[in-house]
This record gives sequence, C-alpha cells and structure tokens, in this order.
Amino acid sequence: MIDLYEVNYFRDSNKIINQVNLHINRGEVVALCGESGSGKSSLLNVMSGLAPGMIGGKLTGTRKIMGEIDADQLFQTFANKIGMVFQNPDSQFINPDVYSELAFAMENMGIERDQMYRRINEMVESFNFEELLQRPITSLSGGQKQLVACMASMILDPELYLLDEPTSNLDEQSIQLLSKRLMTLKQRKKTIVIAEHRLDYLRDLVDRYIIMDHGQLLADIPSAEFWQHSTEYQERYHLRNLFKPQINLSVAPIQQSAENQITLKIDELKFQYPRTKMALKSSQLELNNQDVIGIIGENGAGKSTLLQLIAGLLKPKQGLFWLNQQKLTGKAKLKYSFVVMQNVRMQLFFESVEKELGNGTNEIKNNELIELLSLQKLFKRRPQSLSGGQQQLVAIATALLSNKQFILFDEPTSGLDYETMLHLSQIINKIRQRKVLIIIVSHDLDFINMTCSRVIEMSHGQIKTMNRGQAND
Amino acid sequence: MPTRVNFDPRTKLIIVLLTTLIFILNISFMIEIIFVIFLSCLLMLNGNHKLGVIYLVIFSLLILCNLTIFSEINDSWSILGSFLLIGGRRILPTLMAATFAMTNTHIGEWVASLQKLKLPFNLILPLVIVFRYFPTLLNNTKAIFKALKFRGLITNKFELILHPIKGLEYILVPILVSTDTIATELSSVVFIRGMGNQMPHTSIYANRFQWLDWLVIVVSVLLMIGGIVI
Amino acid sequence: MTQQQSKIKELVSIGIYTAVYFLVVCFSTALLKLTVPIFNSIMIPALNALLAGIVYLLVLDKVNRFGALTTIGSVTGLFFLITGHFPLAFVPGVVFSLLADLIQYKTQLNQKVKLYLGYTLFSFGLTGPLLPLWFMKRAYINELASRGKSQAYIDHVFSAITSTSFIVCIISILISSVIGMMIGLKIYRKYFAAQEGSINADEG
Repeated sequence: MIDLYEVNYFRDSNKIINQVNLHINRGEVVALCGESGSGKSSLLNVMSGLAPGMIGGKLTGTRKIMGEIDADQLFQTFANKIGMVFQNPDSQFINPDVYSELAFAMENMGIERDQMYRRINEMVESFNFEELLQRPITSLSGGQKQLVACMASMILDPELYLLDEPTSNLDEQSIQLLSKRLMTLKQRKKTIVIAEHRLDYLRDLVDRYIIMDHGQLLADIPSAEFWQHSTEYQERYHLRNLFKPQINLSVAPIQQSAENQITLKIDELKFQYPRTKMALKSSQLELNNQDVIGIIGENGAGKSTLLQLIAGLLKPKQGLFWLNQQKLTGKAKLKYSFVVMQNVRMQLFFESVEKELGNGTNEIKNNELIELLSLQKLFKRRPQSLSGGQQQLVAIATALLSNKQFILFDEPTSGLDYETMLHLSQIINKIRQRKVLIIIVSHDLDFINMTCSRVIEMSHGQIKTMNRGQAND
Repeated sequence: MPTRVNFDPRTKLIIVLLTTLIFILNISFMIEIIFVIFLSCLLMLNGNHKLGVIYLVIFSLLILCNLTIFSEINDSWSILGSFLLIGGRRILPTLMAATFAMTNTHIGEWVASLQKLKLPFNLILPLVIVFRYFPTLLNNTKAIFKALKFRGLITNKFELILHPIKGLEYILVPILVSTDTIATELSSVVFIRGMGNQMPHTSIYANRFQWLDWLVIVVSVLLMIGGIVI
Repeated sequence: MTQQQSKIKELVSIGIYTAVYFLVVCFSTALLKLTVPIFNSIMIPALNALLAGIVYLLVLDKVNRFGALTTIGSVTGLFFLITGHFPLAFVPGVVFSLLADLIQYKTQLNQKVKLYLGYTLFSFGLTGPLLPLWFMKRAYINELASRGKSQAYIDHVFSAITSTSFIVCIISILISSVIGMMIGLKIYRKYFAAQEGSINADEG
C-alpha cells in the first residue's frame, strides 16, 4: 500500500524527514508515535502527497502510494482513494454546515443523490450525530468538528486512511465511537496509518507501532511485543500517555512575600451566554498567587469564558471582583490583565520584538527580565516570523513588562512541540515568583501536571472540583 | 412551523437581476407598488414572514412621509429630505430581492447552481473560499480588538475613528501574516475532498425548477413589461 | 507539485485575499457610517483606496500572476450581485480590475508607475455600488417633474450635486489611491519585504 525508499523531506533548510524506509501492507493498521515535532504529521503529509505539493519544501527518494509513483495520476481522484484527517479542527472544513460538508466529497466525485442520502444517514447514525446534522460547523466544539472531519474522510469508503491525532479534541465517549468505527474498517481490510500520542484506545486496533524522533524512524514494534514490554518502551522512547491521562500535579504552592501577594476573589458571578440558555455561575471563588492555577473541563464547559470574565473582556450579568480587598471595575480588570491567546499571532502588532515589548516604543525598562527569558537575541527580529513558542515568550514578556498582574493563558500548548512545552512550563515556573497571578486554561493534562499547583475543573458552566495535588480542598 | 417554498437559486438570481432592471427603468408608481407587494409575497413564501411585513411597512411609511412632510419641495432641506425618501423607496426593492436571495439558500445550493450555469471553477472556488473564510476573519478581528484593548493600544471606537490607518494596520498585519498558513490548510482540505476533480460534480441539493419558479419568473417579467408600457 | 495542487492553492489564496479585501471594505463602510450621516457611500471608494494598499501589494506578492486581480474584482462583483448590493456593481468591478491586471502584467512600464496606476484603476472597481445614486437621482427628477416643477427648477436643484460631486468623487479616489499605495508600501517594507521580496519597493 505504502512504500517509501530513502525518503528525505526538507523545508526551510531543515531536514524534517530523515532517510525513511517504510513499507506498509494492505490491511495493516500502523500507529506513528513520538512527541509533537518528531515528524509524524510530515510523514503523513508525504504519504498523502500534500508534501511537498501543497506545503512546499523538497522531497528526495522514492514514494510509491497504492502502487503509483506519479503524483498527478494518483491524486486525480484523491478523495476516492485516501481518507485524511488533520490535526487542527478549525481549518478542516469548507462548507458552512455539517450536512453539506459530509456531502461535499461525494458531490465532487459525482455520486448519485440517493446514494449520498444513504451514506450520510448511515454515517451520522454510527457517530450519534443526527441532532447536529444541520448545525453550522462554526458553532460546534473542537471535538465535534474533529468528528465531522473523521466522518467526511470515511464517507467515500477509501482504501487508505491517514489520520493525524484524530482524538486530540475528543471526549471519552467520542473516542469510543471512533475506535469502534476504525475497528470495522480494519476488519474490512482497510489500511490505516494513525499518528497519535494517546495510545490507550489503540490497543486492540493497531498491528505495528512505529516510533519517530527528529524525522527518523527509531523502531518498528509489533503490537503484542509492544504491550508486553510497554513500560520498557515507554521509558526508552519517552512515550507519553500509554494509558488514560490523569490529574497528578507535580508542583507545590509557594510562599509569596507580603508585597507580592495577589488574591483575587470573585463573588456571585453570573454570565449569560448570548442567544442560548447556557449560563456560567460561580458563587465564590478565591484565587491566590501562591498557586499556578489550571482550569480544565470538557469542551464548552466555560473555561475560556471564565478567563475572559476575569480579564474584563466579557461583561458578567452580575458578580463582584476583589483584588486584595480592592474592588475591581471592568476597566481595572482590563488594566491588570493580559491574555495569552490560543492564536498568539493575533496579538503581535509591531515590526520588531523590541518594539513589541515596549508596546510601540523602543524603551524597555526591565533588563533583568529580558535576560531571564533570554530575549535579547530576538530584539531585531519580526515577531510575526518567530516560532510559536518564541511568540508566546514575547507575549509573556510584554505582559510582565507592562506590569500586568493577571496573566491568563488560553490553551497555550496547542501547536507546540514537546520540548517547547517543557520550556514554557519552566518559564512559568520562573516567573511565578513575581507579583503575578497565573491562570492556565488547557486540555493538556501533562502540561497542567507539570505546571500547576492547583486545578479547577469546570463542567456545564459550573465549577465542579478544586484540587491541590491529589486531595480535594 | 409554517411551511415554506424552496426556490431554485437560479430563480432568485433572476429576481435580483429583474429587480435591478426595474430599478433602472422608469416604471410607473402603480407598478412599483405591485412589484413591492409581489416581492414581499416572495419573501413570505421563502420563509421570511417577519421581514416580508417589515419591508411593506417601511415602504408605506416612505410613501406616507413623502406625501405629508415633503408635500412642498422648496428649500434645500426639503430637497434633501425628499431626495433621500424617494431614493430610499426606489432602492428598497433591490434590498428585498437581496434578502430573498441570501436567506434560506445553502451555499452548497448556490455553488451547484453556479456550476449549472457553467461558471468557471476559477471563479467558483475563490467564491466558496470567501464564504468559508470571511466568518473566520471576523472572529480573528474580534480577537485582535480584544488584544488591542488589554494592551491599551486601541480601547474604544473613538480612538479607532481618530486613527483609522493605524487601527487598520493593527488589524491587518496579524491577519496578513497568517494568510499563508490558512491558504495551505484550506487548499489541503479542498484537495483531499476532491474539489479539483475534472469529472462532472453532483449536488446533494435537488435544485430543480418547479412550477412555482416558472410562475414567479413569468409574473416578474410581465410586471417589468407592464412597467415599461404603462 | 502537481498541476491540480498548484491551481487549487492559487485559487484558494485569491479567495482568501478577496475576503481580506472585503474586510477592508466593511471597515471603511463602518467608519463612514459612524462619522458621516448621509451620502457616505460616495466616499467609500476613496477611503477604501486609502486603506487597502497593503492588501493589493500582498496579492501581487503572493499570487503574482495575470488574472489574480481580475478574479478578485469578479468575485467581489459576484458577491455584490448575490448579496444584492446592486447587481450592476459587477461591471466596474470586473472592468477596472482587468485593466489593473493588464497594466501590471502586460505593459513594460516602470515598476513604480505600474504599481500606482494599477492600484488607482483597481480602486475604481468599487464605484459600482455608487451607481444606484445616479438612478436614484433620475427617479427623483421624474418625481419633481410629475409634481409640475419646471425643468429650470430641476436643473437648479441638481446644478451643485451633479458635476461637482462627480468630479470630487473621482479626484478623491485618485488622490487617496496614491496616498493609499504609499501607506501600503510603508507597511509592506515594515513587515513583509525581504521576507518575501518579489516587489522591490525601493527600486520601484
């Protein structure tokens, strides 16, 4: 099905795929494991022909997909042959609603209308998606969007599936549905290559585990062997999430000096979502900067909303905010807060890092901080051309330099590779000694575990639990 | 839930074009009234019951004001006022036709119709992308405004009006630096869903001319001819 | 890169820049709605020309092929057509963007002249939505005539509006296109040049 000989893939003078030889037979289910940034996505893109075609870069070696070397021939009717799911749920659809998105690929392949109706019905039934069928895709949660992408990739019943972390935004129930569906595909001798860092749900599905690092294939292990010695492999290849991730905070609260103390108290908070019956409510919430605070919860639980309410970007229906006994107005909240957004590119405005840090001027007062974050070498660069991790660093520094007291992170790890994520966690650990209250919204429990000393779990607009370490408080 | 008629997008397109023609041509007042009532019936059939009524009310109010307040046109204020009233009244049918065209028709139906009208792929694909990307763009703009707000760069509308060029630079630069990524991502989706396929495409929407479509077109053509002749 | 892939990517990019161009149009329209109470639509093309320079430059930079501008103009027009912004707006949108394309890719003019001339022509593409004003005027004249006003009186009423406003409109578009292109080049040099660099702003 897939034959790669001596394949190298270069982009921007980086070698992203390094001397890969790989053969996958028809009917095999293969998992690609390794940290983000190890080359899993790139390898999938090489298999799908999107690299270098769409993405750019240069490919050497021989690539034979479904017995075809000539890309033009193979891709004429791509959708019929290959089903593909990407990582980013927000940019995986073209049509405004679920129904037309599911029909889209079939329309393009000229399938008869009756057949389309039949296939769509069958597909939404197996994913329990009937109720959401007519909804605009933009109104869906990240996980629901991801399911739409999965359904759309399967609707033409292709022979080969290339899936890039399809579960990254899914809740447990949807993961079960997806894995059931993949199981039937396996029984029907479809070939599946799946890049994933959550391995628990793949156990009965996968035939081979391929471990990647720095664009190379480190190991190719049959399933039985892999699970028999799973702890050994986990340590040797630094695999995360062999089992379901759990909260297990490894950071302790710290004692803040009296002058650096920040306590944010929120009383009787209520926020009504526009055009829905949903509301966010919290009777009492006290946040203190002896902790780095993590907020977790399913999609749509109200995590980001809470963050924006604290920052003063949304106006609550009612609620009182106290900063060290001083009452906060909406304007004051804005003045004290800085949100590091999920899409951090949307908050970098100036032509050099230096100017960005000075909020438009070239004056930077706090050199010690610049040194701490080692930003000096980036001063003359354009912030827009930096990597995702560096951009976050610049945003954090901007926040600290403008004397913000609440630094709020909204899903900071999306799109970061593992090393950058570690680095970010270390940076947060460094800056928490200062007079700042750090709150992190994330669905990445690994990151929460290594960064936060207290976790708030939200569900349906309510605060469900608050934890320090293992014990409830 | 009141029932509604599913008009063929091509019918809608024809109505939009005919309305423009009627707007350009000098039609009699009588025909104008009939035509507006006709359009508001179309809106109701299309499922926009409220809007159909609202447009009718606005139309009547415009006529009423013109006959009462500006019955005498002498000074420059009355000239300006009556000009706006008459102009507004004349442009109302185009707005109604646009509402008729834009509501309760899926983008997918439009695309299918444009394909049937043999519009080239080179136009259809960019149009599809505009409809797909514009909402995202508005969301990004909102996010940017939020960031500008807590960074204290632009905190309210007034500052934006005072410094429109600076403001637009703040908005456009983050958006334009990310267009490359978006273009790659969206092209990849277009590609894997096979939109470039050369074989004839089908559509899940059964766009077919029904008797009502024909009737609507015939009536509007008759109205236009009547408008010219009378 | 396969042919299909490169074509798709080009068309998608065009779609994306068209959307960004719309965003600027919406921005200018909203700005004028907030500041000028009536007849603000006459000023939309000029204000837009002042603001959209950078988008035009990036289209030249990223797509850089004959037809891109025309496609943007046509798609804009098509969008006007479907959203009922006055269907005839389609015509100037296509004609002027085609002219801009011709200037940009089919002439041997100096780089700088090409940029400024092309952009000015492209800016005139937005005059389409103004056409209704002209027809509104005709309707108004009829109304006056039907009320028994004399031709002399009607001429008097419109003497100021017609020719002056027409000329003011055109001149304002010309001037703001030139200034808009300068602003666009400035932003381009600041954030985008050297990074991409197919437009040499300094030489041009």
